[in-house]
Amino acid sequence: MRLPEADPAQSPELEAAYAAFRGTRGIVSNVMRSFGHAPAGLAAIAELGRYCRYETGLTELQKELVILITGRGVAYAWHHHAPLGRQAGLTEEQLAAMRDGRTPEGLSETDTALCDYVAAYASLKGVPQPVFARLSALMTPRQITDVNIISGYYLCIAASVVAMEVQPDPPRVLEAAVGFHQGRTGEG
Amino acid sequence: MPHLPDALEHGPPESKDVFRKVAASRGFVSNLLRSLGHAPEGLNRYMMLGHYARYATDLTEVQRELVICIVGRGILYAWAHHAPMAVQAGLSEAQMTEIRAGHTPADLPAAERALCDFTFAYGTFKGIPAETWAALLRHFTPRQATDIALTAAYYLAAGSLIIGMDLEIEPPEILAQEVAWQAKPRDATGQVQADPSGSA
Repeated sequence: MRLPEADPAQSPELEAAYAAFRGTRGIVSNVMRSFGHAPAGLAAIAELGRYCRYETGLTELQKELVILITGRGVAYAWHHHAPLGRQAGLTEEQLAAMRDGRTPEGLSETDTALCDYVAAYASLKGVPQPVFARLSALMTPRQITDVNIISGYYLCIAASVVAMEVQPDPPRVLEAAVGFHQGRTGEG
Repeated sequence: MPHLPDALEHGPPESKDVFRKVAASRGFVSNLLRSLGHAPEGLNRYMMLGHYARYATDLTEVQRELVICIVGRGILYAWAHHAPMAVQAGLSEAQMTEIRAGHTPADLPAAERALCDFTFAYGTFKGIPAETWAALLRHFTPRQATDIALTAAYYLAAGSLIIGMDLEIEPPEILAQEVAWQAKPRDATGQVQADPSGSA
């Protein structure tokens, strides 16, 4: 990381923010540590992340499709979420297609429409009306709003990972995160 | 809002409470936050992150608006909202023209020039050159550098929503109201302080 790591022992506010994050994810990831010098800001972004992970109206598979497509160019995001995508039911071929920027074969009609939508949304070039119309025929306004929130949140995270030069979390941390998520969602 | 039904009229009942919180934070409900009203709790969390970026960082008004305007310089909606606030904070029209063209204004103080260089690089997704990081950290604390990154991150997400939902710019009187709201005195949490005359 570009910034020195913030020390929670020196900041009760940071210790509380880390504890809250650990309570919802099982770990404190390096990307969250990169925000550690601004504990209130960290808490705010972590709360938005908690919503994205556990409180939307999307299935586990749909959430991971949004995250993986949005973060496909950022190795850090891929290391964290490809295992969660597998856990949610994605095959290696489907993951490879997403990483190449293609909508995977073999998904349901809704999830195929979702992938096309997120690819357009995360390109920051606008969503073509037919792409939106197809998704809105298959998902509720609540679900589409959740897609927008998740994709935006992971754009935030991806940009910060790149700018702050966040280093990959070690395998044991990734495994702990996947296990925690599995226990919380019952997936896998 | 061409894409989703208007959440103010067609959103779930819970969204009304969140819209009240939005209005208490921002003075009104923008089309940006209105577009999230179908997911009230998501809107609430999104709004709280924006509240931090807008009112609770350790940056000056000018510094914050520089970050926002650089991230949003290619988005008409963002520019319509934040260019007037940047001018209100002290930036000149010539400086705003430079920013919109993708250049760091040469007549800014060294700290603000370092902030601009950092934010332009942040938005490329290609990393920050070492000399840009070094310049930033000569002028800003780790807390402030983190706040710059968090502010840029939030407004990048906001930009994705503006583009993805093809949001319409509010009428001029609403934009003027927002600029006036931004100048109001606030407490430590960023909430507007009660007007003793009761006219707020």
